[in-house]
Amino acid sequence: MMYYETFMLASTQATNDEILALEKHLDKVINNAKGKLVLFDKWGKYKLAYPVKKNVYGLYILCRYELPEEVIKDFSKELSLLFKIKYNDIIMRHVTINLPEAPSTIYLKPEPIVSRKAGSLDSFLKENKIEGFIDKEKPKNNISEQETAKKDSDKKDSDIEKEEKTEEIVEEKAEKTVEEKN
Amino acid sequence: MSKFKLKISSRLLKKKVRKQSYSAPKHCRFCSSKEQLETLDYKNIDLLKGFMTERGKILPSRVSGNCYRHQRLLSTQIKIARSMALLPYCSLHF
Repeated sequence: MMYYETFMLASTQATNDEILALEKHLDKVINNAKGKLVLFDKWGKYKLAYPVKKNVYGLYILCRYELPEEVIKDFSKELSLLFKIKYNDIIMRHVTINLPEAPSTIYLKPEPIVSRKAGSLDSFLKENKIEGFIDKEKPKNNISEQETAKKDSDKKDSDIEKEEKTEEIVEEKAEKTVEEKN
Repeated sequence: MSKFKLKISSRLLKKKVRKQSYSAPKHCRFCSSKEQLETLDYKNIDLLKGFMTERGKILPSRVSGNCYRHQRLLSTQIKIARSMALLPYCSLHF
């Protein structure tokens, strides 16, 4: 047995029903060639590196399967005809690759657009410490400013009282000295 | 003031500097570990982007330090990814 995988690029206009129909069709074709479909995975929405047939976004589909050795020549011809004629509107590009080992369900793939986090603008600015654009709504700071202002006023009053006391003491001392001299 | 004279010619001096200057020996990333080689795939874009320039050209093995065999493997994987619109042929498409 030989192991293969096909990687397909579908347009975003394709509905779920159409993709399900494609899966059933592929399964039937592979079973007719005495093979076995192992994996059929829909990745999700992606932004393409360059526009394909005037589409900026696209869906990726990966499927893995086993086939006997002699069949692959006829099978690949049938597959390419199937994509070109019947699913011409849905599938834009496809590639088939020979796998060295038995196909597994685990593989690496890039993150689709949907799973990426869409953060708000304020959080982005705070993370990057850009202070100019953040709205100035800080009630805590206002309270603290008022408190500091109150403290300042208290300090000023106390300072004035102290000064008055010192003046009084000085005057008393001066009177005392005058009395002693007399 | 007596003029300073070189005892060696400038050509020989350059040669001497070239011999003495140490440059780290190149090593192929995929030869050294099997785990890295298993991740070499056209679907693994993050790894392939490391072997490309900003404009989307493939880096030469003179720069990346790959051996001949793995450079061929890597370039084929990048070309497949390009044809499936996972990676760009050129970064700017007007």
